[in-house]
Amino acid sequence: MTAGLFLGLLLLVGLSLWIAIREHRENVLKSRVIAATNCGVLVTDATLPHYPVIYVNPSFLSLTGYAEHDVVGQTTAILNGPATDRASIEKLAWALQDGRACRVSLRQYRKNGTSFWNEVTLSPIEDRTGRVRSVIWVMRDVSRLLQAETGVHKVPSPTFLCDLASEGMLVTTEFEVVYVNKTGLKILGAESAEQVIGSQYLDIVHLELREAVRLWIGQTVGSSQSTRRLETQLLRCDGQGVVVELSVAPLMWDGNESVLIRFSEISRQRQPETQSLHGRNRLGQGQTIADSENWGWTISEGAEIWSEEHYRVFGYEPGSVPPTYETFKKVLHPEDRDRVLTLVEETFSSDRPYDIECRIIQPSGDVRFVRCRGVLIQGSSDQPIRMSGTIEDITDYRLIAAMAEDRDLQFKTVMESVPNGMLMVRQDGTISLVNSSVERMSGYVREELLGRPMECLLSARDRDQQREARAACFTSIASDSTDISQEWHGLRKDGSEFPVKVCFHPVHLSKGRTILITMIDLTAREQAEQSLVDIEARFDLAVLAGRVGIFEYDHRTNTHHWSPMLREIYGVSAEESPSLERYLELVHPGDRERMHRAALCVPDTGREGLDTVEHRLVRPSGSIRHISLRTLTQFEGEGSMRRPMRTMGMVVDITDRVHSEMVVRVVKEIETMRTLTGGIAHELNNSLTAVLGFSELALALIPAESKAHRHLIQVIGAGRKAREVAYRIRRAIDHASTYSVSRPIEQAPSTLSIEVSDAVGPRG
Amino acid sequence: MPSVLVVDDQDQVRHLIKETLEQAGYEVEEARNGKEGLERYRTKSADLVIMDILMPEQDGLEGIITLRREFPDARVIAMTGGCESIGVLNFLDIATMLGATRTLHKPFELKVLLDTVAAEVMN
Repeated sequence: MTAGLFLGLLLLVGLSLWIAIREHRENVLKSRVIAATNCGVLVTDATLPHYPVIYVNPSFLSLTGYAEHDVVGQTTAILNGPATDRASIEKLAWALQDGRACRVSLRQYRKNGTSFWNEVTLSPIEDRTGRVRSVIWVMRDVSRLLQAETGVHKVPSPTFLCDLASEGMLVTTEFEVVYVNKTGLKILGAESAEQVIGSQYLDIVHLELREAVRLWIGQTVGSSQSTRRLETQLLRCDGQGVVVELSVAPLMWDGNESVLIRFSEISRQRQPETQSLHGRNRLGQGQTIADSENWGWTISEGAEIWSEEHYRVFGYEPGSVPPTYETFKKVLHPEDRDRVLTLVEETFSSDRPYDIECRIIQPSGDVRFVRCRGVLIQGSSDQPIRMSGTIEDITDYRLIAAMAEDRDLQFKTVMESVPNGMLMVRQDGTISLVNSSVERMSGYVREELLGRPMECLLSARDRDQQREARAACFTSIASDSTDISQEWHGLRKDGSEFPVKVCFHPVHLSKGRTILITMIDLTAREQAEQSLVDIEARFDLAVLAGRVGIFEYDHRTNTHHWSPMLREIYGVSAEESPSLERYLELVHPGDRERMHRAALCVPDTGREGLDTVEHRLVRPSGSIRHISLRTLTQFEGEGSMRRPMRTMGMVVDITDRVHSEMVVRVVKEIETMRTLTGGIAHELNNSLTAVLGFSELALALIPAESKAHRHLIQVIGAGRKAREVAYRIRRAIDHASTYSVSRPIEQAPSTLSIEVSDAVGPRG
Repeated sequence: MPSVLVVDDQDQVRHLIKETLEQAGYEVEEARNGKEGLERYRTKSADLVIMDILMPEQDGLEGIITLRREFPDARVIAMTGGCESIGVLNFLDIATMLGATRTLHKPFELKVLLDTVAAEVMN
C-alpha cells in the first residue's frame, strides 16, 4: 500500500517535473525565437496601467537605437513623434483596450530623432482564464517598402490603377458601398458608380445567397484568411445573375473600417476551370497540400507542388512551367530577390517561419506585390521533412490601401486647411477629432480636447441648448434631417468668451453615429458688422450735417431715386416722381443746355470716375440756388458691350459759399478803389492847400479894385469847389467801406458807383 | 513869441504854414518828416508841433509816438489831406488817441489854421 502510494507520488512528481521541464524548454525556445527574429519585438504588461514595457529583443534595440534600460518600464509612446499619425495611435489604443490583435503602419522615431515607417503588429496574450496578461508588439521597418510602393504608385493615382484592374473591386462599410472600380461596374452591368455607391453590398448578391455571403464575409474578414475565395452569384443591374468568385480583405477607408471585395466573373473567364479549382488537391501525382497552402515541397522526395492559384499569382498557366525553387527565384523582382531568398533560406537554419512582402515580375512584365509565407516542418530528430506556404497577390490590396491612405491624407488636408474649426463628437458628447483651427480658436491643444465633452468649448449658458441640439442631431441621422446651426458663446481655455456659430452635421460612419461640428468664430464678423453700423451712422450724420442730397439712377431699369435731403435742396415734395426731365426743368435756363448735354453724354464716355459740375437751380418757389453736383457712373461689360449700369450723385447747395465769394471779391474791389481814390484825394488836398493858402496870402497884398485881385478871387473860388469835391470823395469812400459789409452784396457795386457819382457830380 | 515846429514833406504846404504863422507873429521852424522833426525839437523845443500824417521816412503817427515818448508835454496838431484809416478809425482819430490835441484837414482856410494854432497856444 505504502509502496503503491510512494510509486504514485513519484509518478506525479516525475510528471510535474516533465511538464515543468517541457514548459521551460518551450519558453527558452520561444525566447530564443523572439530574440533571433529580425523583427523588433517588445512585450508590454497588460495588467499594469499604461502597459509598461517588460521585454525587448535585440532587433528592437538595433531598430530604434534605444538601450534596454531606456525602454523597459516605459510605454511604447516613446517611439512617437511629431509626424506620428494620431489615428493610428488611437487604433492601437482601441485594440489594446479591446484585447484584440491589430496591425498598423505608422511613422515613429528612433532615439537619435530619425523617423521610420514602423509596421506594428499587436498580439494580446491571454492566460488560462482568458484574461489578457501581456501584449506582444512585433515591429518592422517598412520604410523601404513604402518608398518602393510610393515610387510605383505615385503616377498614376491609386483609383486610376484600380480602374485598370482586371477584376471587380468594391469597398463597403458595414452599411453601404463607398467605392467600385470600372471592372466592377462592368460585371454588375452598371453605367455609373452612382448606381452602386450608397447601396448595401448585399443588394448586389443573389437574394437566396445573401445570408450565406454575409456570414462568409464576416468569418473571412474576422479570421484574416484573405486567401479564401467564395463562388457565388451576384445580381446585375438588369436583374440577370452573374457567377463570380469573391475574395475579401479588411481595409481602412477614409478612416473607417471597411471591407475590400474583389470579384471575378467565372461564367465568362474561368468557368472551365471551376471544376479543377475544386480538384486542386489532386495535383502532383498523389502529393497534396493543405487548403490554406498553395505550394508544398516534400524534401525527402524533392518534389514540389504548386496550386493553380500559385501559378496564377506568378502569371503562368497552371503546369506551364516546372514548380521549382528556381522558377520561384526567377519571378522575384531583382531588387527584392536577395532579401527574400536570405529569409527563406534562413528558415532552414533558424526553424523560424518567414513572412515577407516583396515584388515579383510576371512573364507579361507586370510588377505585382506578393506576400510570401512559409514554414519548415521538422521531424522528431529536428530533420526537415517538408516545407510549405502561401503566396498571396496583395497588389490590389496595396492599391486600395494606398488609395485609402491618399483619401485619409486628403481628408486630413481638408480638415486642416479650412479656416473654420471642425470637430467630431461621439454620441456621448466627447470629442473624437479636432482640427488646428479649433486649437487656435479655443487655446487648447488637441490632446486636451480629445475625449473631453464638447461643452468645454462653450459658455455655461449655452450648454443646455447645445445638448438639446446634439440630441436632435443624433435623432435626425435616421430621418436625414437637415443640419442644425446655432450662434452661441464660445469659451476659450483662459475663460474668455467669443461669439461662435456652431453647425451640427449628422454623420453615419461604420463605427456608428457621430456628429461633425463646424465652429466659426464670429468675432471678426461682429466687429465688421459693428464697423458697418458705425460707418452708416457716420455717413448719415455726414449727409445730414453736410446737407448732402443723394440721387441714384439705374440705367437698366430707368428708375430714379432722390433722397429727402435732395428734395429739400431742389425744393420739391416727397410725392413728386423723380426723373431726369424734372431735374432739367429745375435747372436754371442759363445752365440747362449745358447740363442736358452732360447728362446725355454719360453713356458714351464709358469712363468711370467722379465728375463735378456747378450750376444754378430755380426752385419751384422761384428762389435761385447754386448747386455743386458730383456724379459717378458704373459700367458693366467690355468693348462694344460696355453699358452704363448705375449713376450715383451727391448734390450740395453752395449758394452761401457763392455769395461769400462774391462778397470777398467786391470788398477787394472796394479796397482797391478806396486806396486809389484815397491817394488821389491826398495829393489833391495837399495841392489845394497850397493853392488856396497862397492865393489868400496874395489877395491880401493886391489892391481890391485891381484885375489881379478879381482873378485871385476866381482862383480861390475854383479851389474851394475842388476842395468840396475832394471832401465828398473822401466821405463817399468812408461810407462805402462800411456800407459794403452791411448790405446785400448784389447792391454794393451800384451803391458805390452812386456815391462816387454823387461826389463828382454829373459828367460833362 | 510862441514858437511852432511845422513837420510836412510837402514844401508848398510847409512854406504856406510858415509864412502864415510868421505873419501872425509866431516863430516857425520846419522839418520834412517825423524823424527830422524830432531831431529839430531836441535841438530847439517848440510850444507847438504841427505834424502831417502821411510822410516818407517816418510818418506822422510814428513821429507823434516818438516825440511824446521823449517829450510827454509836447503839444501836437495832427494834419492830413488823405482819408486813410485802420479799420473804422481814420488816421486823425488815431493821432488824437496817440496824444495829438487838435486836428486839421487839408485843404484848410488860413483863418482855420490861425484859430486852431491860437487856441492851442492859449491852452
